Amino acid sequence: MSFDSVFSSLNVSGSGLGAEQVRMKAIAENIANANTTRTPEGGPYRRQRVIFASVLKDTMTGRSAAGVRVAGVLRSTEPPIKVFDPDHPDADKTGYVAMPNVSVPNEMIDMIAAARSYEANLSAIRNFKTMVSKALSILR
Amino acid sequence: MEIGRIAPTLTPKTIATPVPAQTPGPGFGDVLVSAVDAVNDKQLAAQQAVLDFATGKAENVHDVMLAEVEADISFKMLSQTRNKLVEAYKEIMRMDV
Repeated sequence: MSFDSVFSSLNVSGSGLGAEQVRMKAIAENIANANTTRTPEGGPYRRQRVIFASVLKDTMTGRSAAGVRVAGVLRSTEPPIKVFDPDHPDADKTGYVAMPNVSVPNEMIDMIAAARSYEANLSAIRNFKTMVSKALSILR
Repeated sequence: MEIGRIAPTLTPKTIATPVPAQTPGPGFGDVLVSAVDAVNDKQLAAQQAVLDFATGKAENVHDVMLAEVEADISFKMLSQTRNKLVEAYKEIMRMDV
């Protein structure tokens, strides 16, 4: 006997929490590297974007939702921002420095969105707990 | 006056006797034991998750919490069932023979 089907919605919300955590990490990295001009690949840091994919599970009654997963963390292809700073060691001949294509205000907005999505998953879990507790009190 | 007409409509229909199952399924005791085992597994999983968290092996907090919630809910389910069973037992013991 297993309770897997009872807790399936809990696991779906759990995968959402994990996905938002990965998104949060990517945003944190973007903000931390907002001024990074040197990377192992060469050139300035490029903004990271997290791609989510839904997970389907085969069950006896067909395919059912089994949560979300991170399909990949992609690098933004937007061109770097050119800043005129001739004193900078990484400036080119014309005195321009290629800065990361990270916009800190936009990252802050994404961060709020990620935090709110995390909270949404948390309240889904909380409501699931309440529902089950209410169902258990039938016997009382 | 003929009153015999009414009688045939009142004959009760024969009730089909239920055919007993050929192979008996697992008994009540077996079901109960497997349910208790499942609850125990959840408790052990939650314990392991907390241990992993304490020793720094856990990747994130929410998986530990979800293991705790699963253990909590399944234990509540077990304790409710147990309460009801004891209640039913007491009810039977109170019965006048």
